Amino acid sequence: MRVQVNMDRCQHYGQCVFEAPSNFALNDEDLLEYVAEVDDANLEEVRSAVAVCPVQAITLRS
Amino acid sequence: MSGGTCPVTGATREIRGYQAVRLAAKDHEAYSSDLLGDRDVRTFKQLPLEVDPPRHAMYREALQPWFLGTAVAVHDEAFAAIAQRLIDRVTAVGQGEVASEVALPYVMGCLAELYGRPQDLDEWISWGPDVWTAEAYARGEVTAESRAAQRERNFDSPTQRSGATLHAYLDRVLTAAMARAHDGVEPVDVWDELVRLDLGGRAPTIEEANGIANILLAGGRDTVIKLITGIVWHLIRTPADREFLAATPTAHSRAVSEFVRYLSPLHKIERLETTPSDGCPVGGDHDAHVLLNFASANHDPTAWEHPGVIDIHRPRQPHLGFGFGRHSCLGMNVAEREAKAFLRVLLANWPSWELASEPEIEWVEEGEMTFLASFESVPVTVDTRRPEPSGE
Repeated sequence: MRVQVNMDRCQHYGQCVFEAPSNFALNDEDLLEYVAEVDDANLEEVRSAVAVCPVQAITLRS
Repeated sequence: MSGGTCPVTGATREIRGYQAVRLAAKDHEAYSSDLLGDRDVRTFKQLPLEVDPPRHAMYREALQPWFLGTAVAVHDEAFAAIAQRLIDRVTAVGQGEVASEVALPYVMGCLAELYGRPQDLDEWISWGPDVWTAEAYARGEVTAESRAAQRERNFDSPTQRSGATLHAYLDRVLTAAMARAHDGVEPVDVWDELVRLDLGGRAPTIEEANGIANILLAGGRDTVIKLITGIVWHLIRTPADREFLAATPTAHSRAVSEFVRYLSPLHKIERLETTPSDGCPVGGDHDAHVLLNFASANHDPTAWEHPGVIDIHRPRQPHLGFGFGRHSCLGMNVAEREAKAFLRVLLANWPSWELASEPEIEWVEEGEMTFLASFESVPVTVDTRRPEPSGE
């Protein structure tokens, strides 16, 4: 599975970082950076990150 | 009906702590936002705050473009100019009070700029930090009880709260905006845009327009005023942080984040627990309201080292100062850009302010947390004894 963030929608709330620190982080400028490839072990937390995003900027696809 | 007390059992119903608040805030099925807050002063729901997904998404999607970082950023220089003007005014007089003479007019000035309503600035300032105590503020007599009611979301006892001022204003401006829309006049300000908002192919009803306008004016007001006041208060008391931030503009973003965490301007918010487990009934005449205590999450000692200290060098860690989940603060970008613009101006030419006397601060004790609930007064004077070190 791969995760994709629409960076035009993303407002860097960083809540995906709470939910899935395995794939999401805020850099020194408080801007979102992410790893697209999702390990099976982290799939549920990434699904949670998708659900929690206030602007629904994250999609998960195979 | 108290926001945090079961009407039958009398038990306090509040969720506290970093993990518990986060879990509750994101679970909109177990902790619904489909409620009427401020029920003592309004009869319509604040939108999109007081509806659940999926209906919530309709309002959020329609409003989000106004609050994108890119949309707010175009006002950065205007925000900075407002800050400079207010700081210079206090400095020229030689003394002032930060909350009422700097933070309040600054936040209102920024919103007037953002919303295209310069003609409303003086009126908005006259309401004070909290729209629901505007009349009392005009008389100079907002009581601690009224502030506590707002903070605890407890509207069972009589307070000075009233919706009369805000509702009269909204009735006036929305009626005018709808007339302009009817006449085909080009939109020029936030109210023109609001009455023409596209909600799935239709315009807002008058109730929806009032509900959205409520958020636009009641939100980002006392919260950001507290944030700006807190920034000044801290930098006066902590020259080392002031000097570091003056020399390190790249650290401003993280510093603002830490200020938001420590001050947690949105202390608590209500949710409706759909299946309470503590015997508190649901439905009928009873609402199983529960409070989510964001401040407790941001001061949880299991999550933060020395949470009662402002540490601008603290390792980056997500906080709940803007809430969590789908109802996260719509105006986060506005609050952050207002704070950063103000900080930049304040540090670029430090006005040599010092505390004129002990600030009046309301502290509350909640479990292990001693929390700075509000700044009532932060009086400053200009220190003319010695020059400040240059920040360049």
